Amino acid sequence: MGLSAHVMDLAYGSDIYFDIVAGIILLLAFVVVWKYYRINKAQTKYKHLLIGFGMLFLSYLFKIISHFKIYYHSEYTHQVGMYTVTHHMVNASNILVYSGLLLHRILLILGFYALYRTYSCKESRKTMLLTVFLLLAIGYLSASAYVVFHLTVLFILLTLTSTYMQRCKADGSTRTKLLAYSFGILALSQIIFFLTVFWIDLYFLGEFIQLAGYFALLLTLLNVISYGKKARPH
Amino acid sequence: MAKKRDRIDIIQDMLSAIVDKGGQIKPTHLMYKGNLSHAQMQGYLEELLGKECVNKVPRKGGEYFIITDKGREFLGKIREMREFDRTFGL
Repeated sequence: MGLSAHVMDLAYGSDIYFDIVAGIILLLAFVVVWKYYRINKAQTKYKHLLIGFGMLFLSYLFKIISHFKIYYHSEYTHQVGMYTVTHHMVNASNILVYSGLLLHRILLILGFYALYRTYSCKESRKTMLLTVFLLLAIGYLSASAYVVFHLTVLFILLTLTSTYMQRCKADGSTRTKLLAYSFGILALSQIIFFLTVFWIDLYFLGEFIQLAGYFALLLTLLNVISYGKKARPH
Repeated sequence: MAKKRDRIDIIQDMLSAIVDKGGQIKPTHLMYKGNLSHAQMQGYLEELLGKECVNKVPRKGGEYFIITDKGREFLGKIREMREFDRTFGL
């Protein structure tokens, strides 16, 4: 029996389009931060944002990949009396589904944690390493307990939302408020995903709300860029 | 206590000072407006001249520094970056 060809095919699920749009928005966020990092490399917090948005983008890339299946041809030969019979079979492998979703979970948790780290740089390296290890363990083990994954992401997102709401109260910036809303909407989507344990049909609503959260992030970035253009000297 | 200015803050102040003066400024005014020592100003000016953000031109009454289109573009990017910093609380 041998592998003769690999054919990749779009399997199922329209949520791939939601993931593609989320991935593009996160890639844009990465590019914007990269642009500012090139201007001011001394600002180490840009590195956390770059790692965060980079991981989140890769997370959606792997989720998109998980929608694909690998099909391969195999041959099976056996003897029937004086005849040799060869069967040609097409087999499907779920390796992209399992590995893609595993990497999606791990990178999503670590990506949001990297964004959170932007505001908690004071924690020691040991604490950071321990946290990363625990988050990796959660990401790995949550394949059989999906609820734990959503609760972990929810907790990190609630912390981010609370941080930005406090900042917004302090400086009154509408852009900071919009950013707080975007993380708040993403947190809400995790609650909806959590509730799919009781009613699976909520999954689509969760995806929709999650996309709305990323659109709010996009709006924040566009707002910052347009403000910069308005403030440009003539 | 006011936050210590970093390199980008000083460059922003220098370029803004030139723009506020109508696009050209005398070195002494730049030093005063940028709140810099002579040695500091020379260092930053060399960087800005090297990046073609400003040009040095001789005029009646001494030499002037004029901001280039590239300099205006760079100042715009810095202001955009500062707004990003404020929004993300960096």
